[in-house]
Amino acid sequence: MDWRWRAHVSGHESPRLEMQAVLALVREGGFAAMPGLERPRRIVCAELSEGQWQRLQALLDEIERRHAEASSGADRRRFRLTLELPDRGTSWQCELDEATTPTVIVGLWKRGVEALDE
Amino acid sequence: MISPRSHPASGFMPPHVLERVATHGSVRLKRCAQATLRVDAEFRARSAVAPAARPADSARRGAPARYIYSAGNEQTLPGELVRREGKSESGDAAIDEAYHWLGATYRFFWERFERHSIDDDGMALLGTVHYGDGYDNAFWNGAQMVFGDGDGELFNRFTASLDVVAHELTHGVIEREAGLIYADQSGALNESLADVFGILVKQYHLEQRVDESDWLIGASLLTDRVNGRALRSMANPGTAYDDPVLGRDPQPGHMDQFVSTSSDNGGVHINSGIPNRAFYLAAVTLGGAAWEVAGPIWYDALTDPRLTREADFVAFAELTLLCAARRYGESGREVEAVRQAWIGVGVLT
Repeated sequence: MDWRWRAHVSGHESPRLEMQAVLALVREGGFAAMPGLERPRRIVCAELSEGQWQRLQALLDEIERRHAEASSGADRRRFRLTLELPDRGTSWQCELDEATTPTVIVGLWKRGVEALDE
Repeated sequence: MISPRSHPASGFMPPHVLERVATHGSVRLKRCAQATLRVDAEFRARSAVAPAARPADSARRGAPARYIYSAGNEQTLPGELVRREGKSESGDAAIDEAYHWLGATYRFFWERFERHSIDDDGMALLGTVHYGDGYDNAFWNGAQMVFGDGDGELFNRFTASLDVVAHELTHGVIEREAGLIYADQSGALNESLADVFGILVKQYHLEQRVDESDWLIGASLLTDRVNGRALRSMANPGTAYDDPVLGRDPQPGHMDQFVSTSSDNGGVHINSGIPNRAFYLAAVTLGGAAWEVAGPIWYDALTDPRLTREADFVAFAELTLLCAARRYGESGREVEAVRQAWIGVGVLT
């Protein structure tokens, strides 16, 4: 089945972490698509340790490289990642199907930056 | 706080190169390579599910072929086969509910429309339960239905509501028929049709007239701790729940409140409230059992070749008028009831 999904990776820039950047994560959709379940989280790059920064950058690079295939079906949940810069707005965005989202990204959304140390 | 720095190189690097860098590179390169290898391993682990061979379809029209699997609280599909067609109760509530509700949904489509399963050709009905750990969702993945156990705090198991199981199976039917694109208005129509047939299956199973139905989707899903009755109300969209944790039901019941959003594929689970209420209004106006008159009109529209994948609310509404006229005559009360329903939600004028 050829479902049309929104572009999974959008924006003209590569996902580059910068001191002023904020990575916003939100989970959307699902049969039980309810506002309180989106639980948006914002990761402030300036507050990351060296190791956390490198791991997160490597994750974003890999997501960008893979351009994961959209999953077919309905009521699937997805994670939306948005890299925001104060002077340029959204510099990069992608949407990942829950089933193919790296566990560390799920952990980042659930628990915050500590997931980057696990 | 950290200082600005150079960033790890992006682009593809074969694992064997990364492993060598991780072992022999500079301190900075080692860290980068190790981080990338960890990411790679995670991606591989998450996508390592091989597609399983499908079990046999039903060769006899009027008889389903059900296969219930357990994921054992993992997220691997389809999982272990735990109950198949004709086998006795397992004693596990989720397994037996999935089996019975898939059967009830098959029976509805067969007895009302002589539809032989999802593809009208006996397609095996595959359902996986105990998916994930405290998983708060149910979905159709293009090949099978999947049900989580719920977290127990906010949600019960997703097989608890017949209409939820029927909703997911109907996604398969929609996929095989109109193939409505899962975004924006066509996506909201896709969701609405899954709710419409979800509630029809529930009413048919419970032998409820339109005035006896609660018109709720997922009425058994929410625990007592949640301030809400269900996930969606077809009669009064936007009133199903208002809870400190889950938030407030965002569904509109009229085009005046149509929600423009990029979230959730353009709000497919939000704006579905508008066509949901249109169906409710038509069914209540016509009275009796919704599966007798309103249901067949919506089914005719769903299976009509004129329904395009990109259909919006207006296109679908106009098609239901054509289908009502074809089935009951142009001057019949059925056409007028459907027209007034769509006017009532602001889709037609």
